[in-house]
Amino acid sequence: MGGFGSALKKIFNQKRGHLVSAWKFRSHTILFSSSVVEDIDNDQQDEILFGTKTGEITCLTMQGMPKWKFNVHENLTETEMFFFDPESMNAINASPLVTDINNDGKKEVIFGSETGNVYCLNHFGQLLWKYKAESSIKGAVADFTLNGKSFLVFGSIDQHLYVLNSAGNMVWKIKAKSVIESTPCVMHDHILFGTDDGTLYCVDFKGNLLWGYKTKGKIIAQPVVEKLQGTDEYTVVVGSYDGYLYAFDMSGNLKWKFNAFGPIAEKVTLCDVNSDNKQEIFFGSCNNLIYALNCNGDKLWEYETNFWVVAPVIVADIDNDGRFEVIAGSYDNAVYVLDSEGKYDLDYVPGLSGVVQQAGHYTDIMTQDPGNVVGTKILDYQSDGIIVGMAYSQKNNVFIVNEKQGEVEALSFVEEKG
Amino acid sequence: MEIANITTRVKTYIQGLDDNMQGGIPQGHVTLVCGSAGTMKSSLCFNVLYNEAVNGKIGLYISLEQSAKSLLAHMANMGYDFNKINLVVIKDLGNLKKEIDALKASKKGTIIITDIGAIRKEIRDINVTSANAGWLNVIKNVARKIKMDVGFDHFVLDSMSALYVLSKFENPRIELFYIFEFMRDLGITSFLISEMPLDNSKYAEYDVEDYLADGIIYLRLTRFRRDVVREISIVKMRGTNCNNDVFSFEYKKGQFHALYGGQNPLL
Ligand SMILES: Nc1ncnc2c1ncn2[C@@H]1O[C@H](COP(=O)(O)OP(=O)(O)OP(=O)(O)O)[C@@H](O)[C@H]1O
Ligand SMILES: [Mg+2]
Repeated sequence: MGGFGSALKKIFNQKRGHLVSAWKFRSHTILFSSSVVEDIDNDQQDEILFGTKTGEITCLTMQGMPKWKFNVHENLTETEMFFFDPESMNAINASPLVTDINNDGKKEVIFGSETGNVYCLNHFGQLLWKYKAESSIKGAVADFTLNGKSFLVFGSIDQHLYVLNSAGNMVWKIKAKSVIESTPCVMHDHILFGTDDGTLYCVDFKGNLLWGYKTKGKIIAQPVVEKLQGTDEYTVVVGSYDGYLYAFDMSGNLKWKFNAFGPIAEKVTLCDVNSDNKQEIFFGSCNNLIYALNCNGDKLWEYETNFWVVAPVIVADIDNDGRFEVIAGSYDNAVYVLDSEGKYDLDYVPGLSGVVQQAGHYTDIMTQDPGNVVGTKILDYQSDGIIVGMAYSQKNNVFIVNEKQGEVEALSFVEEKG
Repeated sequence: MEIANITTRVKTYIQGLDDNMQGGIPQGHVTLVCGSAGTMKSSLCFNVLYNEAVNGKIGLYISLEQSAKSLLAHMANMGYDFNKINLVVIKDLGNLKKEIDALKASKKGTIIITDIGAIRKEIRDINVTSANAGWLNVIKNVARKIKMDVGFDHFVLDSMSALYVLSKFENPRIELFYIFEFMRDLGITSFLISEMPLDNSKYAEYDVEDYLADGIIYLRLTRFRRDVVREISIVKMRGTNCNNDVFSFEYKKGQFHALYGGQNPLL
């Protein structure tokens, strides 16, 4: 539980240390999204995969050495070319999906591109098949299993949601009322996806509409579905560009919404950090804040960075002290490591100190408690560029940070001795 | 030091107006030409391209609404002599290169009209069109290609209002900023036609165009008793000492005139 107990525990247990750069890989192009860290070839080692604006998928070892590279390199007709920005014609806008789609015991790499093609590569980076959608694909591809068979699902700028089988043939598609930039989320024969007119749709595995909910900004973040409350009931959590984080039950009834005061571009991260058997919710927003909420949508703490937080937030125990840390990359170039439970602000004396000013956050004057939980930075790391993606290798306790200007950097925690 | 004297200017070819704005619009400027329907926005812009073409320059006119055929019929009625210039109409993006290559040998000035309506019909079966940025990319890529192959001096987009219908801007402030930057980077003098609402409540759709533009030319139809007179004013023109008064605006004997004060037959 929070409060004094954990505050004391923290004082005694918090290990001192910092993040150090293990290596840096320069892709010499623009990156839009996070890397995926996964052992794709069953060699017991994680690999790193990321897509670029120039249409390359690169596979790196955990040491930052290139394993292979695949370039989508589409040949368009002269007329078709007129419709694209020549610089981003082949762009891979989202993280690849890494999964064994064809049940051969090895993982495949699946992703869409600006030209509207979906590619499926084997773990050597060789093309198995590709499928052409009618228009650009901005989000990632998701997968699901039905009657023992694997399927892929993704949305397109052409407003369709496509479902393909594992051989890359279309099974069905449905048309939404607006552009689909989001990555779908699949849970228990429900497919959830957001559209640019702000609607969160829920359809079944045949594409029949189950429900929809309209927010006031576009939804490009991937919805997340999880048992939040420690019961068997699932909750859908998704952020919108209208600045709110929404929670629904599986029938589409709004459970709560939380005002984050800035567009939310990425999926939330869930983790029970205080062992209360309920999931806490972590996410960043474009009003520069990193938020922690409880499962009822109440704010636990917030922490303000100097610019947008677009990359997904990671929750992990990086210093191996038995407690979780929250790790977030910001457009302000920094990676922040925060205390996942925040810190009980003991400095606060009601009526005396008034507003306690700390960099980036404030406590309300009118609070009943003799203090407040505030977002607390343990350490930070200054990278060289805008952070657009964050991934984590648990095996190696290494963070893979993607910077817009093309750099992929590995960070690890080093404990300070003495 | 007189910076203004160094500025190369592009004439508006409106008699009485150029003298009131140090000779014309500074080269490289992006100018918004605003007015409600029928205020001669298209004619004014075409007139600049035509006169510049007679002087050997190359102008690109992108028409999103009006077909090239209808535009040229109107211009022929206005009395332009198309024998003095090269006139190229692009109706098929696949022919762009061929048409442009054919120009390379010519010494005459040129107007290249890109008829987006015709292109849309031509490529109905190509599916890329549903992309939001698609048509904006077409405009940019046509401009880029022509710039690279033969170069061009002046650019008319007719109209911004039609562009907004064709490509929905999610974030107009940001997207428009980049469109204006794109034109400045090309180093061309641009005219963006903006169809104003009838109540003349704003110069353009998103309220940012007027900040982004270097210049604004405002055309208006005003009722005077039973007569309706055309009027023109320069709302702003960066880097130019200009007279912002409202002039009467008319087209007579192949020439636009901006008439002022005592010259106005109605006053
Ligand atoms: N000599 C002329 N020949 C043809 N039209 C003329 C002439 N003089 C004036 N006009 C007027 O020009 C107007 C059309 O001009 P133009 O197409 O340039 O206007 P516009 O503002 O671009 O209109 P729209 O809103 O339809 O695009 C007509 O209303 C027509 O009456
Ligand atoms: Mg017109």
